[in-house]
Amino acid sequence: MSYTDNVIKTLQKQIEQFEKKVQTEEVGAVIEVKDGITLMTGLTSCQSQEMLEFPGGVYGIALNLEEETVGAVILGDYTHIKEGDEVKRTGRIMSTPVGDAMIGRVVNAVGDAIDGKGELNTKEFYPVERVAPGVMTREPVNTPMQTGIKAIDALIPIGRGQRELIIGDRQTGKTAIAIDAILNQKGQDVICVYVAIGQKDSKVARIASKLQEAGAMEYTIIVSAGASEPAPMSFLAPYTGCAIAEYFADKGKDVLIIYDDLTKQAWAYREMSLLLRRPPGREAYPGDVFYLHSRLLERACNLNEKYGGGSITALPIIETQGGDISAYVPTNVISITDGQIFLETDLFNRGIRPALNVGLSVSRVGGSAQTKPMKKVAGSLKLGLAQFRELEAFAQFSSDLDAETKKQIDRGQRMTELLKQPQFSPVPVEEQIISIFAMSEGIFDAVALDQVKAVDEALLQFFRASKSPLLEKIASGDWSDELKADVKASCAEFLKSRS
Amino acid sequence: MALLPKQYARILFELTDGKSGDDLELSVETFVKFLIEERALSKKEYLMKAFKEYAKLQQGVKKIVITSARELSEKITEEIALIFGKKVEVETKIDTTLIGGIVVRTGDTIFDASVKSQLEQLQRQLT
Repeated sequence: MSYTDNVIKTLQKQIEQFEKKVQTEEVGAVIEVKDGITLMTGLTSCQSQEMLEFPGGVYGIALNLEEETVGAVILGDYTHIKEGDEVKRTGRIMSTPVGDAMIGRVVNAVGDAIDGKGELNTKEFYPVERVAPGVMTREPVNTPMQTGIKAIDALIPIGRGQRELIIGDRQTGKTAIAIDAILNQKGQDVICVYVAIGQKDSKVARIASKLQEAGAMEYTIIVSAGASEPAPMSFLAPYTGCAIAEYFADKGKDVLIIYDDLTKQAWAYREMSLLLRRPPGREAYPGDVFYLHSRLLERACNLNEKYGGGSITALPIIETQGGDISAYVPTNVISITDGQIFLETDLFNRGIRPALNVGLSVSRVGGSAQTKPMKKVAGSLKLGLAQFRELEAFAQFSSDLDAETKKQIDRGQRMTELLKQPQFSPVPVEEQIISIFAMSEGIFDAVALDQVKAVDEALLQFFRASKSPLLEKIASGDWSDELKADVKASCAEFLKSRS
Repeated sequence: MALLPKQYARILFELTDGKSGDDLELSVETFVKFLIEERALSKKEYLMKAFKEYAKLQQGVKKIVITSARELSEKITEEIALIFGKKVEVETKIDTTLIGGIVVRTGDTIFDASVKSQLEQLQRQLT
């Protein structure tokens, strides 16, 4: 039998098997349309969060269920919808397609591909809103999620399943940290989801091409709700991204998800709520703006073995205005997350990049996920930096300091210099440990301030070239006294080779 | 928020149900005063339409709209109406895009037995 005959036969069979069914549909009529919000009558048994079909194949979500009317937001173009239009129930709670085919793609807030690489071949759907995993399914954070950024991995470590907020003014390198963290997951068997909320499409395109260039799109999915799309898309995008992340976490994978940024989602939700006539509260946000973020971030988790052992690490980003972290949304998200990375314009302009404020940044659970060698060496760094900060302010006014103070300040300046790191250049954790250990051993004390970076690079080069077994041992989490002595001796050897 | 025509219709029906003569006159007067207060007089046409529909529904008369591709014979129409009960008011519409079959609408529910929707279902099944 030829190929065509075969196709025709299968087709015939399918058509013969087709059952003719009378479709029962429940409909309603549009009473009012304004700014992406509609009010409808009918739809008597419509559920909350249910998808509704408008003419022209546009979908909406039912949000307000009232005695006589249903209020919904329209996902997509609403200019053609008019009074009296028929609205159909779909019986489906808002859901997004999920699947392995999504990796390496750019999708919008409803899960449709927008990168021009053809349709997504996905079969499964996940509800966009889902209750977070419960107590019995979780276990404490115990594995590190290396970002490749020295200052973060050493001082504010992040563990798999943690929620660490990245907060700062505009132009302080918030996205840069997130992108570096994605780049560093290469070869770590981690799936990354980058959710761009209300971002410029040009920025998303730039990030996508950067990730592509670095080979990071092989394990990354970008969910984008652009600045030109209606507010409901921005509101929905984080939940869609989270549903996609949950699909992979349910399969036992580790997932890193970045919400860039939740301030814009809160704005979009405020807009929707005001149009739906929900009562405004502080800063005109609706009463449930806290729940908006808490239910999203609570879905980050570290599942125990019984439940597949997957994890979702969330890095939400919040943009502050003029460094005001006590505004409504920033305080909310700070209280929800397990710590924050605080970035400052001041530091950024002084050339300290990443512009991390070490004093205000914390990680409440990541410490237990740090590897042993990092935990050991980072202790001295933390202490040194804390002392330095105290002395720095006071040393500005007096030039003649005693030798001990002077030494501490010198050390502190070199530490700050060592923690500077250019964008798109993540450092493996074992090399971070060598650098920090060398600092605590005083290797950099005799080096001029502007030479610290070059010497650090030379040191790492030296280790990579002639001490690679040591690096491997450190990477495997070993930090015995023996190994420590070996590293110390190697550092001394390096110093000798330089002089 | 302003009330919907349906809600006004319900108020009017409950106000006037089972009344006659002077009583009815008084009730209607009260209702008109209420409309003035609500600044809803301009909506009176929608309101009357909604009232007619509501009153029929209360008296147990169902309204169905049958849409078909071609004109249906009276016998078929009657038979369809019987399915929905004894007291049925039928409205018929012609929509050639259905290709064949019928679509019946009653209240907020649509029973779609048109060839068009069957083809759409088939398309969905084949892709």
